[in-house]
Amino acid sequence: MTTERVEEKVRETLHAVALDRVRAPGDLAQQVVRRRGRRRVSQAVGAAVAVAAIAAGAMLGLGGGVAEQGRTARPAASPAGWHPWQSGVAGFGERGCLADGSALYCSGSRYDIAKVDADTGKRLWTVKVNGEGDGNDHPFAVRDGVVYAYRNHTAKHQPNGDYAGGTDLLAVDAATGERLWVAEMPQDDRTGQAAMLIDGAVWANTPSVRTMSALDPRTGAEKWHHTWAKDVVCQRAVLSGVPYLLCTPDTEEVHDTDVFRLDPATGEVHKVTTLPGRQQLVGTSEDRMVLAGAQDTAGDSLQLSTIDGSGQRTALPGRVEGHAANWTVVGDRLISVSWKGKASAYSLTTGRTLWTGPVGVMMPARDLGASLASPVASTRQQVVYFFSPSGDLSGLDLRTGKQLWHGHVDTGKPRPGFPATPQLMLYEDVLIARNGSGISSFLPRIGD
Amino acid sequence: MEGSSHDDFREFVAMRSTALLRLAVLLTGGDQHAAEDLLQIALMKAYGRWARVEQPEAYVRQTMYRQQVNRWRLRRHHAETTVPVLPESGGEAGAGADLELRIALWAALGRLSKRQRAVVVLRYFEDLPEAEVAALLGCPVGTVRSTAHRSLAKLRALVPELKPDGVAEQQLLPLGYTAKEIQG
Repeated sequence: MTTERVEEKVRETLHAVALDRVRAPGDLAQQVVRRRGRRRVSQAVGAAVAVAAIAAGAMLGLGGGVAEQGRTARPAASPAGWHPWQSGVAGFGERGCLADGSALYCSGSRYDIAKVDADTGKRLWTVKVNGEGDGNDHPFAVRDGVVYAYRNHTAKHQPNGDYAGGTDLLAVDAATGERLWVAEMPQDDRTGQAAMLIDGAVWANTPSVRTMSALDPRTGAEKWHHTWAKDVVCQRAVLSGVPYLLCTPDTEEVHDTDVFRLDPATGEVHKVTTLPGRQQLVGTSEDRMVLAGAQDTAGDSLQLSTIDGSGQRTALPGRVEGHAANWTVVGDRLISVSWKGKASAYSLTTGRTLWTGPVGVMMPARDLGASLASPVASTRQQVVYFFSPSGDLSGLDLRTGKQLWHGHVDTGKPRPGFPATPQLMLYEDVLIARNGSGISSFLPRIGD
Repeated sequence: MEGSSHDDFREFVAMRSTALLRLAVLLTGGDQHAAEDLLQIALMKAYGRWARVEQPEAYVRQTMYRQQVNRWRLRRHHAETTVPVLPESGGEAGAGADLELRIALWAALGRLSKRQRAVVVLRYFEDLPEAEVAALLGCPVGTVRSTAHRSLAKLRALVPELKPDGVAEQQLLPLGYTAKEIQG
């Protein structure tokens, strides 16, 4: 068949599709307005950084105070056996990585998980991708020798078993890469709240979108589950291994937020408190959840508060600027970066602005869909690091905001179809910067 | 948003959403849930700029095209995928074979990448010239041309009836499939 005939057949086919059966829902405008309202609040507080915030918050306990302000950063020290390395192999890192001690677990277009030696960059084992490896996801936790990650679900009803959307939660032996179990998720949500570790279980959004189930970490068998009411949306958080739900009606109007604590062993639910307005979880700091409340859907300025496991709420004085490029909870501090490149640190105890200054890296254009990597902080050095898609790196003194170090790394660019936001990880004082499939591991020379 | 603009938006959605959803269904290869998601995203963007959008329909269409090309993952419930079927043929001679070809071709269109499908819909459903497709998608004309070329090559590989006359079948299967697998 000639090219012209093929084109004609394509035309005929497209025009022959029975589109007359396709009808938009009657309440579409209402759905759009409601969805946009939810998204604006979510964007304002940067819900996507919650996972990084939880990791950083758990890692750091800051003293702060005037006496420390004059100190310089301690010299960076590399782990024994480590040397700088760089990798640009396509297929194993585009989706993202998780640093866990001397191991790096990555996901890419060819592998759902690839374990890499963080000392040398050498690949140790891989789990081949199931279908297409095109998600914005990477292994999210490692505990007791098990790596937890996501992969595409294979839909049984599709011809040739093709991928038709859907996600599996995947548990793999961290030593060998052997698959332990798989659980089907009800939607393609692979964000930080889709699955988390709680005491004795993996707490995952399965088998329905309104259900969180506790799964046995070695077998994936359900231990208990909790389903919330229709027309309610619930955010999820874990404080010291205990799961919490923050629930609010799924409506355009702003309603109060109910906080529930669940027994990690039995799933028994206990209502902790009701918070005013729609509260967005920003992250956790030690045993507190950090929340941002917007009284309207614009989210131009936000009221921060913290709540502990007993429901004790502390509203922080003053309001903080919404619509930031990045938010991260670091110990007792909330670090935000504006789209104009201004970094600010707020105290989660007093609500005061501790410092404000240039972030020191080139900011991406706001409408390109890329942002800075979630910043990471070195406990020993008291330095918070930033990494932009342009490859610029900056280290600011966590106590004063003063720039102590800057650098540049050429990691390449993300492939179309993969996350445009880079990643920055710490292995002790060593930085691991990833952008697309390019990964660099190096020691920032601070305080030498 | 002021009340009158809000009403304008609702009226626009009421009037045009079905037509726009049909376009979205083509762009998503027949997945109605993904299509609704795509349309909602485009309408959300339009709603946020409603006062400044002069041609809402053109704006929503362009947003859908670009969104479909750029998005790296559709969030959808895999178990709820619905695929519109092709219409019955009018009973003309040879209509059965034609219908079979269309069904095979529609299935193959669903296997194109999102970018390829967007280019195919713009070129062969909307009948836009390459330059206009490039402007809509925000890419060079050469990219449109090469994407269309690759799309047709992939369709030919997936639907053996489309192969060029006199070309051996094996040469048309550069995608790692065997003819038996494709036909099965």
